[in-house]
Amino acid sequence: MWLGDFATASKWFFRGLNRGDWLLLILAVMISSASITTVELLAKTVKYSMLAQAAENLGADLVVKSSRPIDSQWLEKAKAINLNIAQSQSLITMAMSGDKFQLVQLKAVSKNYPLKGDKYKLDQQILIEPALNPLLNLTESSEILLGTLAFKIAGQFQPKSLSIAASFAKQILMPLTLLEKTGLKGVGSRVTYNLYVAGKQRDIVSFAQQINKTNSPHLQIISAQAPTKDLAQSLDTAWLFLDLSALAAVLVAGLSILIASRFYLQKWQSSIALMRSFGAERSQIFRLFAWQLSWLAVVASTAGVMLGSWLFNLLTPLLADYFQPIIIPSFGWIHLHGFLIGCLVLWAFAWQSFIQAIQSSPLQLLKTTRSSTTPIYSWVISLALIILIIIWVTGYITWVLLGLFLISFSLYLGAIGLLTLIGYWQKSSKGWLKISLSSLTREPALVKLQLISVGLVLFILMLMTFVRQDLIQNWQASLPQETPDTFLMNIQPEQKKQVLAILNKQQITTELIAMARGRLIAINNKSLTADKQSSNRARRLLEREANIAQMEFPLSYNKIIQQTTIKLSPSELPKVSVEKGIAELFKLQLNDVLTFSFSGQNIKYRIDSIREVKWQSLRLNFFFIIDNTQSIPISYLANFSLAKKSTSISQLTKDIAIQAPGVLLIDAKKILQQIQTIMRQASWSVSGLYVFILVASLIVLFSATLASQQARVQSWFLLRTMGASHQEIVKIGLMEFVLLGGFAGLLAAIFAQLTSILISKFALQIPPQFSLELWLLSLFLGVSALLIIGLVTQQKYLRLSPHKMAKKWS
Amino acid sequence: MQLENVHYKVPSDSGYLSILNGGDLYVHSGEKLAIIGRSGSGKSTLLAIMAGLELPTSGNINLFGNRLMALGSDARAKLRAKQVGFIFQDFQLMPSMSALENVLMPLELFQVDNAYELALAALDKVGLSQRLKHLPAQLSGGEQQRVAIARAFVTKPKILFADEPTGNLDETTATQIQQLLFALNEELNTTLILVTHDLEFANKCERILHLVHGKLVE
Repeated sequence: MWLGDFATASKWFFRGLNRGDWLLLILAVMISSASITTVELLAKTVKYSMLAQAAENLGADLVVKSSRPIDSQWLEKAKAINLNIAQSQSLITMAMSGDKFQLVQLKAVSKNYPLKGDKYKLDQQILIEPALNPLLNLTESSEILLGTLAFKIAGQFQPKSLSIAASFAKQILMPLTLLEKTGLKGVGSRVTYNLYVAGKQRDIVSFAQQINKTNSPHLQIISAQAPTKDLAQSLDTAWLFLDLSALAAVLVAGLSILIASRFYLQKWQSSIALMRSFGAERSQIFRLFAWQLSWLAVVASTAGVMLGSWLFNLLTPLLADYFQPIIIPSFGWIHLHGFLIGCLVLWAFAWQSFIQAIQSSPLQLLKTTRSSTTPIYSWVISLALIILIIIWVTGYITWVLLGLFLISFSLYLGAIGLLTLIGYWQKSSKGWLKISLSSLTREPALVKLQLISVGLVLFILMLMTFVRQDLIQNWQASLPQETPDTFLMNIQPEQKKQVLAILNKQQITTELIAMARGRLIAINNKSLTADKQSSNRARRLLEREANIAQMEFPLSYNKIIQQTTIKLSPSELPKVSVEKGIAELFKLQLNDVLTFSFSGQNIKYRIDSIREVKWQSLRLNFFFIIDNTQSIPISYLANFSLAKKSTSISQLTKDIAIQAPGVLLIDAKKILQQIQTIMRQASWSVSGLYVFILVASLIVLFSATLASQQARVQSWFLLRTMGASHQEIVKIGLMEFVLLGGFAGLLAAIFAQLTSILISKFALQIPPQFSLELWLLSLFLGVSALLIIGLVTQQKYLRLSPHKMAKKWS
Repeated sequence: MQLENVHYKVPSDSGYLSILNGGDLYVHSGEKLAIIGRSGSGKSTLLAIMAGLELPTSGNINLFGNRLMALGSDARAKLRAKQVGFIFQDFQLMPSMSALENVLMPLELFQVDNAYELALAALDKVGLSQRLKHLPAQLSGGEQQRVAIARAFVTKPKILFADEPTGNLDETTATQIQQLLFALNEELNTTLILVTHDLEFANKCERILHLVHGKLVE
């Protein structure tokens, strides 16, 4: 019986497919699975390629960093879960060659370092960063003295890292086995110990979790997933947007299925009533239609996955411009996911109509019957399926679902309001306007559905447009053209004039900022100790000396969010400005007293202001800025952009090395380029996805007009036979679309503005913006889209003579 | 078929409205019976009740020895599948299906062997072998009703319910349809229960019943 029904359903489905019966539903399902497939392929490719790049820069999938030797238990644990490991120890030291010497970052690495990217051949020799050549006047035969050992130079290497700290001094790589023999590691040496691990993602995560569980302040984890905190936040935002775009495309496609299935409902009801009269049992009809819908799901989802993969293949050459190497996920789970989402979307959104159709009574063939209502359980099933889709696409649900529910409900209330308003308007209007208004009130349930769908589509479009715009603008603003790419550090007070002269000569104008090294030791006279802090970050901060700026006024590009208003006498404590994050970490408030220790000299400062700092801007920023009333040991530092200057970095390096020895020049161009590339990649993927939502939206709008087409054309036919002119019919017909589009646009704009504010503030953490364009655009889009689609779909009926119209609908 | 004291009431704004008031009826196998009555007199409801599409509020109906009141909706459907055929006033053809596909529908529904050959033969009998691939919209009203007749007879039902089968047709076409209907009825020895307004058509049946105030008057 099941097999027989399957054969019959298959026959009917493919016959219908041949006739084009299923076109609307097929298109909508195809859009869902195609968008999920493309989005996931895109997102995974971008993610994998970026991770591969980051891992190559890091030399591993994960690095455990510590200021103390890393306990051997971690090495054993990593090996036990089949992770590859390598180690390094690095310290800042002096390198000498002949009579030249230079501060360098010495990195002693184990044999298999790095775990990712090209391996280094060290043997008993060292590798140097090319920038050291001019500084130490190196030739091919030069030897470099590191502590007590002299090394031959095996070659050069270009350090790869996303961390500015790594660029402080020029790097030298040496074998780890020889580090002890150099005698550079003594008591009090500031050595950083690194443990590099690489392996399967699952094992890496488990290893990182084990380390995090120990809550040790000495162990710090750097992952290829998030090389820097700011970058991680930007990328998280991009992934969130990609998820939301995919969800939007799927839900919009779902809406078109919902409306299209209402359009199919009439057909299904007639054929099911007929089958019931022929003697088919309800269960058999259920099977026959379920098989047909399942066939539709399979065919359309497969086509969608193919379309999605094809689109992705089209985009791959573009991606290859951004990523080297480009890592494309293999055929498998992503495609299956796209396929299953397509099936799920069809069932979730067509379920109501399906159940309603199954309950059709054969009596409707003989007389007018009241249409059956959908049982509550079928609504529960629909909702459950939609929730499943949301969880599956985004991985989270609460606020997405709550938002969708609230907006749909508000749109529903809006629709009821509109219908009431139209009722009043209709009473006081005349002629063609009265008729076009009555056409809206004729089928209130359908108008509500159309209004909710069109409103939701416009809402999603508006929201995506403006959030996307905010996001991209924000990313671009975070790294403007003039972002500093060169840093000068360790300028001694007596070198200040000399350095300024060098910079002036190169037409570089920048301010030298005085900076002291100090440690926070007490808050409101209560001493602070690292071991009593619950947060790792607080412990780390207290264990080390911080860079503290000394200046009369805080930096102009920092935003003061709190400031004392009391004018104090000169005998009062000197002032300090604190960064917001630090203030929150130590629960600091204005007028609290902080005690800093500067090389054993303890000085008290009163908190005068709290500042917000954009760390990702790459400008000089400080946790603490103290006033310059106290005499403490300072050095100076500066940063500037060389991007538009004719000065070459090598010339500047040479000048500084000769005229101001000891001053460190850090070239951050590479880091900047890497960050800018990543942001460009993320912006690009975000824009690409937008196309899917647009296509899905068009299908919804088409379905919305088709759903009420029959009733509309029948009423035009009646009006034509009663003597209405062609012009009047056009006015009546188009007014219906204008009203529907206008009101949906207005509702959509209200919700899009509100939601955009909420999403910007809470999800994307970017400043929200009020946008007049959004309102105008939404209204314009609503009216014009419905008007154009109305014209396109109804044109052939508007032109028909009454006779032809009657024949068409007979 | 036997109807015993059949009552049918429907809820209305002013309480329950009686559509059938204790009708009794016996229909012999192969009989041609016409039911006439004013619009809204309950003819179609009576037809639905006789065919087991609807159950009466009270009373008994026996169809081929089966007490319909005792059968569930699916059991009644099963009975219809084996014994009953329908013809409707507005043809009820599936608009996106061709004439052939419309006739094939009940055969395929029950996985009848040689469905295609049977459908072809049925359409040939009603004179539409040249219009197999045509959609309903491409056929005239008379042709559409012929397709509906072919669809009704293709399963060889023992009893055929026809609800105003010529109601939407012009006089000439209506006469042709009547002739076709009776010819097939004779050939297959089918019981025919016909609801019509057309007295001339009703007069061609062996018995005429008038539905007045919910009662059947011979």
